Amino acid sequence: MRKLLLASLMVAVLAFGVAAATTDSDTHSFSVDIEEMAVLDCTDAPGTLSLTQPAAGGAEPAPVTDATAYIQYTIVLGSEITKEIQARISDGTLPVGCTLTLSANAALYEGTDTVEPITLSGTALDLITLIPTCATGTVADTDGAVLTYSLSVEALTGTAADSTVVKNTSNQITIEFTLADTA
Amino acid sequence: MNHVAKQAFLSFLFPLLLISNVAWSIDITSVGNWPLTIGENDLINGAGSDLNSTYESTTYQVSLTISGTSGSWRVDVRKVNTNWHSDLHLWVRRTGDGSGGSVSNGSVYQELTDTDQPFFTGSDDVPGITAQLKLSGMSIQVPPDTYTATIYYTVVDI
Repeated sequence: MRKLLLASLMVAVLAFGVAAATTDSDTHSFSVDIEEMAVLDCTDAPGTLSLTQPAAGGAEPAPVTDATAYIQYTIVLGSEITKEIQARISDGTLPVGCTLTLSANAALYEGTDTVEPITLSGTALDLITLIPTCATGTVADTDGAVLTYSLSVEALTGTAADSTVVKNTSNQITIEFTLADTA
Repeated sequence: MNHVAKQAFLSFLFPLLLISNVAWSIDITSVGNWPLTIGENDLINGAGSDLNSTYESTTYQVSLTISGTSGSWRVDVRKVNTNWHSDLHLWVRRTGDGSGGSVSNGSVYQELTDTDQPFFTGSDDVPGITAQLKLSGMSIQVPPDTYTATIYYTVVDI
């Protein structure tokens, strides 16, 4: 009887000792899904571009330019290598006989400018290419790529075609910028 | 085994074994999966700006319940990464005391690492201890992907 009690007590104490050191764990998960991003915004619209008469008779009207507008963008690339920004006239028409060109001056690491200004039309053309993951900044008139618009009269030829240049017309043009995957 | 021995076993050993197996089975349960999605709406100031660097869950994102206790205990916490980026840092802090027993410490954010760290302490059974998570280090330099980790809470008798 004494042996049985002693043995039983030892088993109980052993079980007690093991159980007293117990711990337990449980879990939950955390996940963050980062999406690809491509957003752009234009700051101020350029001012009115007005062609005026040349100072000297016989000369063509000098092109008029505006470089007050900026385009700012944030790009977060996923599987694409780079993005590009294209521009086109999406609404309105230019005065007959006039040409509107556009160039952009992107900072280093925020894309590659086109070598020559692009001539705006209804067809989208590359303005800034090879844009990596970047954020240009949002400060007005300093951050982003400065946009330079230039309005000029198409070369006058001294022929009847010159008469198609219409004076005293005022047209409002809407330029659309699009962020696209690099082709 | 005679009758006396049987009585001794039933009246002494069996209850003791029962107590040792039931009363000391400490348990912790955690609820609080936090799926976070970061996109264009998280830019600080729209186009041209970077992403907000810090994100916080609700203050009651995580609920922890401690039961089966017999006195004082400590909760340790760690995380195990499944897919992670070195710029990202995950933090946790206790935001509520729950009800029942007592809880202390853990109310200041601490960064989760892959090794157990003391989180908070307490005594007796306490359900509904709330906690909040924080993610820091986010920027556009973290490539798009889904980054995941499992957070482990371990209760230890002390």
